[in-house]
Amino acid sequence: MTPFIVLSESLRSLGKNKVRTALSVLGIVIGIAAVITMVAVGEGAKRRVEREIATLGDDWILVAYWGVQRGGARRQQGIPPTLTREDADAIERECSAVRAATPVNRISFQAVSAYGNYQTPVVGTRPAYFDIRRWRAIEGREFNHDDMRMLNKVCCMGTTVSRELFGAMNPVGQTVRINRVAFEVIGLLEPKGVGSDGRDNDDMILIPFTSFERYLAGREASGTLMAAARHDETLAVAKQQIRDLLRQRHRLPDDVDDDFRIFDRSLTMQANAESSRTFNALLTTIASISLLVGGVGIMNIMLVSVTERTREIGLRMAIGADGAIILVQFLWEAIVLCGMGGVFGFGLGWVVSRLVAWNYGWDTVISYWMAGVAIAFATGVGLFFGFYPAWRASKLDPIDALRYE
Amino acid sequence: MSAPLIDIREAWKTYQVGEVLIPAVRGVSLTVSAGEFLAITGPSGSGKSTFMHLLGCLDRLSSGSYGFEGRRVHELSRRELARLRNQRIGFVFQSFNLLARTTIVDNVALPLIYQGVRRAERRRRAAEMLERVGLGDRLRHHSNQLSGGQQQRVAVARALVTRPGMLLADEPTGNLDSKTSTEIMGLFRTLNEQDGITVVVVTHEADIAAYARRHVAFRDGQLVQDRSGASAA
Repeated sequence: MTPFIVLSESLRSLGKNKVRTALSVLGIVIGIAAVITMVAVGEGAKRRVEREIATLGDDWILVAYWGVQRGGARRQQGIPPTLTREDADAIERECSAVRAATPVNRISFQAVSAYGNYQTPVVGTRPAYFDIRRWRAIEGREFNHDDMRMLNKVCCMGTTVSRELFGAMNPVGQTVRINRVAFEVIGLLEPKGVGSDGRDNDDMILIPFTSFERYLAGREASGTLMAAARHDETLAVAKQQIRDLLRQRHRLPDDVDDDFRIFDRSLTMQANAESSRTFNALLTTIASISLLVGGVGIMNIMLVSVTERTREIGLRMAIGADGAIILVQFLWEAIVLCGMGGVFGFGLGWVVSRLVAWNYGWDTVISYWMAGVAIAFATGVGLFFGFYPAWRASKLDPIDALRYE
Repeated sequence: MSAPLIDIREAWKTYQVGEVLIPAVRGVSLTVSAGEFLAITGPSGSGKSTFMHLLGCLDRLSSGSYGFEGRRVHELSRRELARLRNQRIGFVFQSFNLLARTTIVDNVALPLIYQGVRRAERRRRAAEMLERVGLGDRLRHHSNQLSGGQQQRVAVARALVTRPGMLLADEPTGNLDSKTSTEIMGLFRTLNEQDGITVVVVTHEADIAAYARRHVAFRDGQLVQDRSGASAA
């Protein structure tokens, strides 16, 4: 009970010296604001990378088949034409962490329009591909299961191909001849730009898998399939499930290597995230040092305050405050100072983050748990740096303190 | 009351300065009954200040015994001494020792904080006590807005707000002119005679000591005189 009664005394002594109180709080305010800003910028950068990965559809899993490796020599086996289709179906059906899977066959062809011709990769795949790569048409539409079933001669194309074949025209409704087969362009895909692997994502024509097999690939089987993990599952789990399933389906004994390989972009993503995390940690460390300096400032001002108020301490002791109560009173003062610094520092950090976001076009993320952490941390700083001055005050001898000039 | 308020026997207080032991109080015995008005006099260095600190439980005896209201003070811990000072002893100092930039009612209420008394009750009791010392109309004034005599009245109110067993004043008129000194000493006398409060005044001025009914003189750490005399006024 008494500690809280003493709190009112602490508040009153802080209120008596408003300018000093404000100045000593300033150090903490700046420290907390710096930390908050750095964390906000860091969080923003992280969020941005995540969003970019998501919009680019860079979180796919690619399964490439090859022959069984045995005794160090790789023996090319023919891939049965049905293999990737059935594997893709099985993966979609049985891997709980996978939301979609599709065979992907890719052959480079000369594409011819009324205006020109252009050598480009032509990809045969299922409609699930658009979901896996988070890709959609900005003109026209994506092909669908009806197109698959009816072996429609339709295609979607990336913006690079469209520019080469049709210039600035809208390609939807136009005809492209691929391997002397006429395909109607039904969709222009949104530009994805150059991927993190340096490949132009927009340089591609997509055709329904069935039509592709019938009109273009002939007997040439698809060697890859693509899959994407569910949003609430990690890539690693999905990869493991796919691997286990394919090994089982391909009847591979335990001592035989995989006859396929699973690729994904998680390593690149991790490396990127890691480097930005390191940089951010460095900045946050520097910001924390300014908070430390603020804490030392509080300690200094508290020591001055204790010396200046020696007689007051003596009086309080004479009329009945014991050392513990004096300690608590001064500790409260330091905690309140720093707590206030935490509150205002969070406010300032919020404002600065907004300014940074507005001025530099960076993403900054202020989350409200950070306010709690900031205030708790500032209070901790107060407790730590306030303890020594408070302890000094509590150890004063009342007689000496009363005589102090 | 049969048991004396203060019962000090063979009190010694020695200070160690480097290797040397300096005895400040040398075997003093004193008994004071409740309701007395006592003046402790003596030149500076006579040990009267040290003795006052012992009386006020601000310091502990090196040897001897001290009974206050039947409690064996020399056996109490620092914390227990603080509680005893808070509840049973009222201090008045030469330099008032009021908190600056604080209203006088909050100054007077200060000792009650350490008793855990609620705010409204503290205010009420402080206001009542300020009324008694004639400052009932200035509760909201800050201490630095008052004259020296008024400040000392505030200090007296603060000393009495806990209803202590003894009022202990250390050179209470040292910073006051003779007119206000007379007022303050008159206040002490009134409190002593009308309310039966035990008052102990430490002073080196004979005319201040003259207000007391009993005089105790110190010299070289020893009690050299103890007489009950007719008061001067």
